[in-house]
Amino acid sequence: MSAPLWEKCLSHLETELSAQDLNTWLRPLQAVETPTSLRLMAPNAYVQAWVAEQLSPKIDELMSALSKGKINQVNISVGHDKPVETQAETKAIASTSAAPPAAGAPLNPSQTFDSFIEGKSNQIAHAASRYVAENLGISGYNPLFIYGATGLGKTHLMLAVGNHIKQQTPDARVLYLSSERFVQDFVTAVRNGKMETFQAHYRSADALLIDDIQFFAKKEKSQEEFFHTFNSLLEGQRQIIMTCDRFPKEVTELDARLQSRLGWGLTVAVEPPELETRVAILIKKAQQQECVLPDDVAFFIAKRIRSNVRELEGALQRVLAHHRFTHEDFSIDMAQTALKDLIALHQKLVTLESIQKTVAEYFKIRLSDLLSKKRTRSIARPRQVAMALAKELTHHSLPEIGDAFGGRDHTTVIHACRKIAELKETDSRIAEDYTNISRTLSS
Amino acid sequence: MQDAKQVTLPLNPTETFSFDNFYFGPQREAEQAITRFSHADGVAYLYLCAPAGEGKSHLLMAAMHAAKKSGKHAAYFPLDVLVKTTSPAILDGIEQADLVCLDALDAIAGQLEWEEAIFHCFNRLQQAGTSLLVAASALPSELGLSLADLRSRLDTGTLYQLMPLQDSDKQQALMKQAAYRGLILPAEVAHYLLRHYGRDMASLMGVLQDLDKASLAAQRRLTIPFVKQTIH
Repeated sequence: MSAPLWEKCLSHLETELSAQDLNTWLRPLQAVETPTSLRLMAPNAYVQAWVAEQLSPKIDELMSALSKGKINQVNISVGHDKPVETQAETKAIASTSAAPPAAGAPLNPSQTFDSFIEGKSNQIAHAASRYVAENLGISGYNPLFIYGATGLGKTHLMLAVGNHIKQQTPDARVLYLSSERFVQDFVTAVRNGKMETFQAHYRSADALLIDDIQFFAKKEKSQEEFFHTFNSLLEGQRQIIMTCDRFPKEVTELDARLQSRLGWGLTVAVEPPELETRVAILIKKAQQQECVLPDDVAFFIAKRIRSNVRELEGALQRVLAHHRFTHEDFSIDMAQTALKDLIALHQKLVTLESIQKTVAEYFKIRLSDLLSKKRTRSIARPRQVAMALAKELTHHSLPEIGDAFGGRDHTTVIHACRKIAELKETDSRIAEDYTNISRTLSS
Repeated sequence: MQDAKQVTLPLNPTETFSFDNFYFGPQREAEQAITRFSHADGVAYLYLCAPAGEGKSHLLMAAMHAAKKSGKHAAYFPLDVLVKTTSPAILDGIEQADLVCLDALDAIAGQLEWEEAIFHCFNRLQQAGTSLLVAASALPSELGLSLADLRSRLDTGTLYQLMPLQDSDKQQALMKQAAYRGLILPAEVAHYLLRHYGRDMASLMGVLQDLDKASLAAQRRLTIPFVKQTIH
């Protein structure tokens, strides 16, 4: 879009405004210029109000002078002319603030079951999602509630269901959106008196996929509307899938009725991926970018980045960028160079002290007890967990670890590590505690 | 009689922030990644991390400038300023741009309303395929963000840590910036500035800017006596 007079106007304003102000308030404006008019479109009402209040007279004056009196008043409104595109280049209709609710966000076509790496950590969630996708409306798992920490693939699974449904039944109305978008659409509908359109839109979905429902917290009116939408869809045997960062009962500040209904169907957890899954994820993601990542390099990265898939992805991007810019072949040395900032961070963060502090806080015991000679189960078990974590997450020698735990012998550390490895296989609570603490330390 | 000092013309501020007048020193890979970023098409997200005064804002505004030159629509948000003066509503709808630059991300740490707004903004940018360039003083996990969802999303970017320049590189950076402004900064004067006026790039660039104005007004070359006389 060409707006030569507006560009000239900006050049004049550049001499009066700071570069920051110019880039923050004026550059985001889109200009539609004709020989006799100029329409400036702001991304939101906030920017529109600021520009109108602070600069409108100046802009009018400059445009009048630059157009030799042909443009005397500049219209500043909220809007845009860029169609929203997804990676699949799906175009949605350009929206304006008064438009009816959009059809939800387009489904990212790359998020399918084929591109999802299955592992122990997400096996059940994966199987449940697949079952729901293949038995739309009759699965009995309604709603399907997928929960887990951030960056573990919840949205991927949900979108995989959506894409599968669309593939099997192209006419199916699959609505995917964030809870934030639902709230926004609701507010817009109330403001514009279009509640009926809003309700008809959401209640006629064959499948409603809502991401991050924890952000409904405190938004009472939106929760109430969602509650009605939820009931209507459930009655019509339409599928609802939700993701959340925690178990339904733990989503505080949600209406009690809504909270209880979230757990009516099937609730499945997604856990942090174990080493083998992390390796497989890295290799697959590299393949998607047409790169062959050797196994040893994938292991090298996966061993160092443990917290979530997003961080793994960030590390991979850095290694791929290094390869692209330097043309250096993939190797452990090369990956080490590319990731030196990230690796340094991890090594710096996980110390014996941070492990001791985190473990004490997690088990709600005193740090002094953890380091003491006490041998009661409630103290000894957390101490063993801390020792095992110290062996896994730091480079300290076993005598050093023993020393840091109240001057114990290195054989005590060996015993602790063996004990915890054994308990992780037989006691799911210990396994979960270990994973939780490890994740806290690595994130 | 009035002093016959020449009044300086206001300089075009966007011209000051360009990749051409930024000195990366030995960080060739970061240089390539950042300078290519604003021209690249498709979804992209780059995270720059460096201590204050290493030129992050300069690079973000240079990216804006480069995007504008290639006909793209870009927006810049200095979060350290905006958290004090505006509402997170300023981020609504910005996914319509081709490039969004978020500067000084550290400033929103602990401000839940802003953290949530950036989180939702991040999701919208990804869906819209808008490129994102973020700058902060530390890695995402070190910023003290309360919202884990935001932290993990920030982790997905290609991260470059800009290392502080060595003194010899700082001298080169000053001379490059001076040349860009049409000034001749002799090596011994650049060396003198480094020894006497702080060693962080932000202060040094400030000194250079003052010298630029003073030398233009006085019609004098940059010499050590002139610097001594001008900067106290």
